[in-house]
Amino acid sequence: MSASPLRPLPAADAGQLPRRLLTALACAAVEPKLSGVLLFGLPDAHLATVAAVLDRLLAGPTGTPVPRTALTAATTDEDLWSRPRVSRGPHGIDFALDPGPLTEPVPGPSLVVVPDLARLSVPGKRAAVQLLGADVATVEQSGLRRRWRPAARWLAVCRTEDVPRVSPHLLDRFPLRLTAPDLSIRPGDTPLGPLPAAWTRALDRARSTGPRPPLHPADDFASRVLELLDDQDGTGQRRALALARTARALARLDGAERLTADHAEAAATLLRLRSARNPSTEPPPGPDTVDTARGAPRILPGPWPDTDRRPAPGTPVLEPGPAEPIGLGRAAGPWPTTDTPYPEDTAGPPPEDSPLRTPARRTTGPRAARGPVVGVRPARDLWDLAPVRTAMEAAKYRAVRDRSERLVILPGDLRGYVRAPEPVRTLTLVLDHTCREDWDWHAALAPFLHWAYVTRAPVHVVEVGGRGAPNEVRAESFTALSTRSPRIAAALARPPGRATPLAHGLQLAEQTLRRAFQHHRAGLVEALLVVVTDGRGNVPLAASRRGEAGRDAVGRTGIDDALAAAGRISGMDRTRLHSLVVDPGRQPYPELPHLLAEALDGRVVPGRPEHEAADRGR
Amino acid sequence: MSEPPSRAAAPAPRVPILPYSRIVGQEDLKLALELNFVSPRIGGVLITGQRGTAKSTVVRAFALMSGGELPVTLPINATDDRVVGGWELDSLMRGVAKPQPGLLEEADRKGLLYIDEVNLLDDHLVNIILDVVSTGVLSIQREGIDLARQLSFGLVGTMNPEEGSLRAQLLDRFGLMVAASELDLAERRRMITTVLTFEEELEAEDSAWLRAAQDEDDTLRTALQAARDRLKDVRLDESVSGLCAEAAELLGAIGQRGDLLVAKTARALAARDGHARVEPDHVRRVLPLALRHRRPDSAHGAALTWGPDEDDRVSALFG
Repeated sequence: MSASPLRPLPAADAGQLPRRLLTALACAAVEPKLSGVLLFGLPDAHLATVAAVLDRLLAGPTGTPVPRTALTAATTDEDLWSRPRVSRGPHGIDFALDPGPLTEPVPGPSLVVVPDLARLSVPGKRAAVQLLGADVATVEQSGLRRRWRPAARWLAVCRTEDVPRVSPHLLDRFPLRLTAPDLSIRPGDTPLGPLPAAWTRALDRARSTGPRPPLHPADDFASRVLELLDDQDGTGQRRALALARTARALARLDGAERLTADHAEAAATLLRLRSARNPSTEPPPGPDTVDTARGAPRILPGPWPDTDRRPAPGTPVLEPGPAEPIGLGRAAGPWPTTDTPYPEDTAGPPPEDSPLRTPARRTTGPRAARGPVVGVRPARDLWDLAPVRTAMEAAKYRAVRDRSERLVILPGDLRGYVRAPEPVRTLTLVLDHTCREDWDWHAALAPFLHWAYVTRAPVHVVEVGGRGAPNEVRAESFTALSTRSPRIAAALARPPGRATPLAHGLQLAEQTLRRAFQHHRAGLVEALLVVVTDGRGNVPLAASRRGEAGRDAVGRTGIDDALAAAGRISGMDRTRLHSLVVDPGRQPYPELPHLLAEALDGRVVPGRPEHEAADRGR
Repeated sequence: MSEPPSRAAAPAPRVPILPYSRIVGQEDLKLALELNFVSPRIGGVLITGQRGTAKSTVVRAFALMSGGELPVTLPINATDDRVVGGWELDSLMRGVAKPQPGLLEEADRKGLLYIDEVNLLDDHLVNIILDVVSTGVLSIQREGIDLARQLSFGLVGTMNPEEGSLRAQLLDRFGLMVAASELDLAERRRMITTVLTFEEELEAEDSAWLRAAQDEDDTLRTALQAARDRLKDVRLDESVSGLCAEAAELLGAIGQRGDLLVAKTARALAARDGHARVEPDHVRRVLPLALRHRRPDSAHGAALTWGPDEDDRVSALFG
């Protein structure tokens, strides 16, 4: 890239997506605090190219690639933080525990690539939360302890329709975000365009270890940053700092001596903040080369010409894709994502309950993903070695094997963990409080709770229409590790509220079940879904997403949305998922629970004692 | 080419944490940490707050200011051998069995264990910590280790409530709880300028800005140390201790720990502010810190908030 001919940016080209992306990547390379680049909707085929560009920006003129790690849905903690190394040496097997790739054992920046942020494994997501933007990071794993200042840059991709699936907590860690579904790259060495000479010099300075001239903000800089933020009263300070640091990165690329409000505006334009797109605040069109004597940017990423293909605000960037199989299903319904860096701000319910927590189970352990350790035995292969027991076994024979100080580990010393198979069962309980009236549902639910107690199943409770809910048009959910949790008793005793967001409740149940199937994989032997409802959902899913009831008549929308959500659940693994609808027997719509059970591909269980009496009478 | 800097002028590697004295806003959070320092028997602080509210930064900055080093940190993906202790693997490889103390023992030496994202901690680690904190004994029988040690340390945890709540038993082990607050517009302006200035000064060979911040940190540490020394001399009259119990009862605090914590924290506040005796105002000031997480609904996962209802009840008591 640096070998290509350098030329000033043509103004007509400056607003194109490749140029914006190159600018964002250069900002990440020049500014260590801009450690996360998140691309919404980037076509899969382009990820390798974009990663290669960032790699070269970080590597510099030597062209030696920086260390690179890819995190996927299969990433486990053991892949990330420590790396056992067993090798055959002249005196037998050498054994060592090295720092893992995320602990950045090699000085200098490295690159972490996440091809699909929504489907990243829970350990991968937790690692991202720990490392992205952190001042210091710590690892304490299996005898390894290390503290370092993270310098890795993360390049992640998230499909537009998957945004609701990703925790806002995780999204918030990415300071640089671009929507890039229409990215077109050019063949050759400069797929995103040539790198200006000034940027090459700035990147070289960033890579050098010596002190660099300070770049202090002008008096009006901070005020301008806050004015430019889309959500000036929003939670947290990360967006303000991301905008300010992006401005500083642009100033560094530009070789400026002072950080000014112009840089803040250029950064807002780069990130597509709404305020920067507002004609009243957008700088007037003109050449992108301005006088640097006044400290203003020489090369700005904007203003963008009208030829830019960005969609108008409010226009969905991507149409929802086709349905997907269980475990990796897409979010329900289209997500109104526009060309904004913060799509999670669009009105909608939280993506799921505690997405960064390991799904609940009764038998946890450091390696619980493969079952708890129940013993140690001679190793049959080099997977899942027990390092301490291996070393201890070798240490016993040290004196007789070798009179030198070395510890020799022979193949016969290798020990591996014995792990118990880990059957996991889960109970998902959807409680529609508005169907209870005078019905005491404890007796009807007792068999299911008893099953959960006996099988040690965690209980995921979804509450629909409970009085005192923070938002009455949304369902609430929580996970209890056991049936003895007082939260379950409290939920069962909760009085009814006014609205029945049944569709949202079933959507929460769907997300929980998908997550359980995805995380526990083959370990999940049985999942029981129990829906206690009369089926009279009166809140459309869209209203739950918005968080407020609309003024128009709802009609059957709430019921139809609930049936649609139930239909999605019915597409899951029928051999392991069993669905039941407990019918309170309310009039005048006794058929609704049956319709719901049909949509769930489950069956109806009569809930009221009258039904039991009738059954006995028959 | 310029001459290389002399050895004396070479900058020491700096910890990239904003100095405590330069942190903008977050007065409640700072107060809770300072009171926990003045009176370690308070037992720790739980800090909740939305994403990006500088929770971790404040904790690390406080540890640097008060102790000169980063806190003993328990990352959420720590393995249990590092938490309770084990063998040094490198030594073991050389045939030498050398124990490696775990984070709990290190926390015992330094007085504090910091858990970032504490609500994401795996349950088996929570169980280990709860065992040690509640019994005061670390007992290990595993991998050839057989020991039992008396341990005592305070917990400081940060969490984002969006990611789920905390088990009631663990919640109860934090002496104080505080919610990181949002900054107003003027504070946000100051925060941006301060953070950017800090990041630039960090790379300078010699920074007057950093030296001034360090001086202020030193002054504060001296003041807090003096407050800790005079804590035992601060009087808690019977009428005020009765007020603590009354307030805890009024707010429905579970158990007796709430009463005690209100009294200890009010006493620490009096010591910090240089008073010889605890006044009702001290009690009133610390009530949200000591009782926010001890109300009955906290055991059922309710949002741990402190709102106008609580303020009204407190006002009725204090007049």
